[in-house]
Amino acid sequence: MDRKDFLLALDEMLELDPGTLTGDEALESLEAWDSLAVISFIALVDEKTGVVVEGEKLAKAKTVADLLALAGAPVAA
Amino acid sequence: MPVSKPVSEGSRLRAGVATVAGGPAAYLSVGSGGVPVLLLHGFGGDRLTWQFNLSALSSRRRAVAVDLPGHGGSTPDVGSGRVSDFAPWLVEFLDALELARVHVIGHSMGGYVGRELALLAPDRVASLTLLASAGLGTPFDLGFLRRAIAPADVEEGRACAARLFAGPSPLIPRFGEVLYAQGADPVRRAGLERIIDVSFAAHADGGGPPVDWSAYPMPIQVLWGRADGIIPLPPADRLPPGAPFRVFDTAGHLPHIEAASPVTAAIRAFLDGCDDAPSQS
Repeated sequence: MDRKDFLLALDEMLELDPGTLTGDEALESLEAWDSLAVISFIALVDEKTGVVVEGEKLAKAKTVADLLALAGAPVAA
Repeated sequence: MPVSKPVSEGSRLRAGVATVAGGPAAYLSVGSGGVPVLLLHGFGGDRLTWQFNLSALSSRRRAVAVDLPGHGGSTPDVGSGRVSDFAPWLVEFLDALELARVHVIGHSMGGYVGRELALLAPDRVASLTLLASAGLGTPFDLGFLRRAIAPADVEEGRACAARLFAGPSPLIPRFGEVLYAQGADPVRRAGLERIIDVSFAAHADGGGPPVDWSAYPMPIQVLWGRADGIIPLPPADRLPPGAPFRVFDTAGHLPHIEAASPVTAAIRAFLDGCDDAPSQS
């Protein structure tokens, strides 16, 4: 799953229009980024890559790009 | 069967509300098959307390996190306020989801409720994992519980949140805001105050009788954060004899959050071991 696919999957998970997220967004600016989204994100990455994101690292994520890095997706476009 | 649906299109994570006689039960569910695991949150928490553990626990089994009465999206009716009464409600919940037998993970108050469930329906509980568990007859911080359910302002909410952790955490501000926001709900607050008055207040100084662990036929493990400031580490004579006892140095009262990876790994290994044990098959 490449960066673009992950961003689209995150758009869908957070109920945003496709193409909304670019990677630069601060998580605290996203209203839908809450504890339920955290669980959904871990489940999404597990399903798509087989990797279980560590909660301790996820707690420190500040931007969408940080999420992409945790998911193993290329951070650069 | 209760109706559950993916929280987003195609997600493995499903959210649902089961209709049970004691009042609706809101839950999250990930994965399928295996001997499922049932996750019980602590006082004032909800199913989202398992945000870092739920998916990882679903690799070999269905993982279900439920809101206990008076908490989250489940019934606000806490009945008499005796948390032991949550056990028959949970049996109804297991019936509604057609879960014949589950591993039970209980945090804090959820540990006590998990033990009550194991006593009430031992054939439904494959194993017990007690995480910073209440009910072992040791002292706990009653004043903190009263403050945490109704912080006077966001600042006090953050101070309460900080007491839950061993050290600085990026999660503390958000937890504090949630504690403060939840405190504004008078129905929730009344239910939680009743639980404190009926179930907790008389036991805060500890000194209660030790648990009769011989009444629990299933495997038990106990996990704790070394820096737990709410329910401090219990002495050895309060623990189930011979049971695994793991202490996480970098964690306070929320080891499943603060030390999510090693706690989840310990739970997974224990559950897998229980599943694979000849006597359990």
